[in-house]
Amino acid sequence: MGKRELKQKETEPVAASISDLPNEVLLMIFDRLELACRLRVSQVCHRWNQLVFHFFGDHFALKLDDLVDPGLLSKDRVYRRVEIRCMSLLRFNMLHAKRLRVLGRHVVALTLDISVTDGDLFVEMLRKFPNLESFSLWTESFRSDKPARNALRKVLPGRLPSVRHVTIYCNNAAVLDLMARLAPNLRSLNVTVPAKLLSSLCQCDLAGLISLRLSLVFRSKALLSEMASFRRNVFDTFMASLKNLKKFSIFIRANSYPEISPQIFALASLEQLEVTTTDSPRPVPAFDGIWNLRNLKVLRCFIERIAYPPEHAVKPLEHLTELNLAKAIVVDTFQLRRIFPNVTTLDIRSCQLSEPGLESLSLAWPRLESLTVRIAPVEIDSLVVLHRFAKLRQLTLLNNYISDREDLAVLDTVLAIGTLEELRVEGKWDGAPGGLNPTCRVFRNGEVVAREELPLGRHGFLELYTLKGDCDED
Amino acid sequence: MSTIKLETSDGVKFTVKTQVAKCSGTIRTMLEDIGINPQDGEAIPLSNVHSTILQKILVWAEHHVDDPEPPREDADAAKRTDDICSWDEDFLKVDQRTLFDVMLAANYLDMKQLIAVCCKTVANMIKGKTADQIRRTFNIENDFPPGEEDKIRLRNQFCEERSR
Repeated sequence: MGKRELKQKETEPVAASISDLPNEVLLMIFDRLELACRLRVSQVCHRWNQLVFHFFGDHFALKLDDLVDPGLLSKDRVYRRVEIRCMSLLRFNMLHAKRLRVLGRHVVALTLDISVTDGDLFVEMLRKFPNLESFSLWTESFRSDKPARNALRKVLPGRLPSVRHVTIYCNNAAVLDLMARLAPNLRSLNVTVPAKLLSSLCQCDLAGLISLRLSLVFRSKALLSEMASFRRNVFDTFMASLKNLKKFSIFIRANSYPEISPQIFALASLEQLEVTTTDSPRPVPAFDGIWNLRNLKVLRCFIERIAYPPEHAVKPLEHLTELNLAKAIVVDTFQLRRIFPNVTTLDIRSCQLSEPGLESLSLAWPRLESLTVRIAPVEIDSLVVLHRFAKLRQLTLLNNYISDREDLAVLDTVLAIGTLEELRVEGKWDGAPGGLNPTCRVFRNGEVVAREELPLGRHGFLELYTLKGDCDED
Repeated sequence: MSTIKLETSDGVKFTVKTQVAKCSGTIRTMLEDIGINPQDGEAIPLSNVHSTILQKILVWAEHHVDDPEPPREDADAAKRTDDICSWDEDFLKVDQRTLFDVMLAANYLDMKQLIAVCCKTVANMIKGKTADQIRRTFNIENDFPPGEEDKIRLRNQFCEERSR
């Protein structure tokens, strides 16, 4: 209901401008903007600035050792998401303390990007944020000698009971131990550590995790099993303890992935799996045993060359509907179909397909709803094959890495697919798409392409293909 | 089918299907809670809405009268601005004055769905523009005192989007 004062009777419509909109309507507009855009909006005029910062100014990043005017932090504001960056944090000075006091209690998400710090100070700092739900730590050097660590262990357990999400980038086992003890109710963990620290991570109690993202940084060519620090039984016990895990994501050296994949494929509750390996000249056996994940719905496997399991061993994964192989240079559609028969969303953007390739794709999964594919060369004959996907709603087309510019007009063939709601093209494209299927949104390299009305006489394009008889209009 | 009369700020009377008029929360409240009886033939005065704008809004209401109650939007869905249906998109292809008049009236008439789709449209006009471009697009005066704008820009440099 309008809360504004009634305007006096006028005989002309009110000559409205955006400035006439009441605050509650402006806020509804600003609420639909990304933060970066919202910040630009705050620079437009005084009123908008007040609105943005009064209602959305809860996100703040602070460079602790920078000479930021302390007045920029307002005691009257509530900061909910804060990012603190500094080179080294080895003691608090007055300014730090003052700033942290201002930020204090309301923060729910904290990112700490601190090159060098020590354990005591780190905990001291965290204590100023009692209501954290999400916490990220990026640190290169975390000093923590043994007596200090033992002292910490005594005071720590459960100090941050509200923390659910933690992101850690570190090279120190003590940090992992610290976080697991600080935040006993963790649900999601995103951790990047040197591979030699894997066993330290595995010693933490993380049985409550629902989501785990693990990135292992290898400094030598050694396999995990060749590292002195790696303990197979500790790793196996840890993986078996993750009984609630629904999402798992791992980044690992290609040759070490097969070493741990059996433990991953034993995570019975898993619904989403993402695997990224370093590039390797040898194909990586990526799917051997994956059929044990009976609940898996989404698989993102970013591996260049995939070695397929022997045919007799394969069992189909019925529930899997989303398959993303965006890094694979070649795909074997028939092998894939055997393991993943019910895919409706497929991304194979690195693999160049021409007409026969697309044809085998359409035979493997005729019911695809979303497809991301690189077509080379872009020819009418290849595009016509896409009509065989009778349920296609989203299509992303990439062209040859080295090809010349393509003309968007050629996509009339694709737009003739009646079910299509969104067509995205990436790469070098010129011109404008035709007027077929005007409700389908078209994007070129992420930007919306304006659709023109279908001019009379252009229908001939569609009829041409119908006459050729090799496309199924339904 | 029952109809009611509405009278706009410039004295024009509209006869509207009750069901269509009830797209407006304000009119619904008047009819149901306050007990204005349209059977008397008396027109409901809409002293904030001009006839040209009401006409436009009635076209929208007529088209959307049978829309189901929208599900409660979760936080992410509410942020989307690319899900405007093409009929609404065409409907809102109007000059800015009309657009903001429609928004003012829709706000006064408490028509949540219409406001939402207008807000998405304006948000799309703001997206990707610099502060200066936004000012020029909407003809907004830069009323910051000298130096203030730089200070704000500086402050904003410390703000950064994080994925979570």
